[in-house]
Amino acid sequence: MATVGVLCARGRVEEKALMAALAEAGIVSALFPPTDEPLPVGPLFPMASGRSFPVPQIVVDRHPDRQIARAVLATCRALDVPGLCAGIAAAGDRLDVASALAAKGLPRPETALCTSENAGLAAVAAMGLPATVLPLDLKSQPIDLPDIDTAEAVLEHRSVLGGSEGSLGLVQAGTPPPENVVTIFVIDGVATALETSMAMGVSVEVLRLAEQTARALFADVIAVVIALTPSGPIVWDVRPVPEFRHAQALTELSVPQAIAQAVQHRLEPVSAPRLPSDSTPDWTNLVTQGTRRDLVISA
Amino acid sequence: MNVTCPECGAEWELSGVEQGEIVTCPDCGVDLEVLTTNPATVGLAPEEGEDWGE
Ligand SMILES: [Zn+2]
Repeated sequence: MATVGVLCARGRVEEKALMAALAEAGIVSALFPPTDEPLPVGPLFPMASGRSFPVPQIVVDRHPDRQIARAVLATCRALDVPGLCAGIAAAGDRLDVASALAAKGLPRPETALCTSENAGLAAVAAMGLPATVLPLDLKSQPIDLPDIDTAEAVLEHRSVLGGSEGSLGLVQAGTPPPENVVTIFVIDGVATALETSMAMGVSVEVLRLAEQTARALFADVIAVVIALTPSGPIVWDVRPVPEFRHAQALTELSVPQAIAQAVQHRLEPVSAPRLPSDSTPDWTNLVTQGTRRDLVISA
Repeated sequence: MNVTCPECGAEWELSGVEQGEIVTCPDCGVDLEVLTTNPATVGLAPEEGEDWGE
């Protein structure tokens, strides 16, 4: 089996670029899980076919369907296979992300969790318009609410046709215009690339905010959407599996090369700490640092 | 005439199709809709099910 499993439904431009970058770094990769192959749950046992399940050494989360990704990542954790993913944004939804960022005191727009059409309308009335509905599932696109007619139509439509999933959502104050939005790709804690239609350059403050966001979410790979407002940059949204085909590199590495480097770091053998001869070894520390468990980074 | 899959970037020759027809990318397997025939262009086929409120 390949060293790296690229968790996705099919190889899009991004996954192909990632696999090329991994190959360039001498790392064998393959799409994961293998098509039409059921995944084992818990300790490995021979499949009905008699073969053992092909387990990669590490999995990179690139699955656009977050429900499937969450299930496979959980299974990988049970099999002791570390995953490179967006942490809380990979395992959770927009509410989990908003809560984690709020707990860290990172700047976000005024936000309300709405569980019904009426709650949505009340939130909009309190915040004012324009506003934006962000469905809890991170794969669904935010919906602009520029005026009250649109707000009523969208909230009613979602509630009637979408059931409880459609009734649930975050309402955020404002609708940032594209020229005030920048998407920063953070890989292994470092702002690596960006995508924006902003005319002016992006400040260091914005890059640091994206990196703080990634840290707060325990994300190895994530895109952070930052809106520039008169009171400063705020975290508008995140993308757990970002498209990066149009991203402009901020470092000497492209996004796929930076992900390949992050994979390489995790594949390097964990060296056992050398113990000073005249002191009592800290076995607790040794255990947590010396196992592969500490490579399980997804939340 | 060559078309490019917007999903995976693969290029292949597409002929004898009508506008609106759904074809499958031979590389990544995504369903694509024939947008125009002269020149031939394809886009991601609309997903099944109602896209409520998006
Ligand atoms: Zn394709």
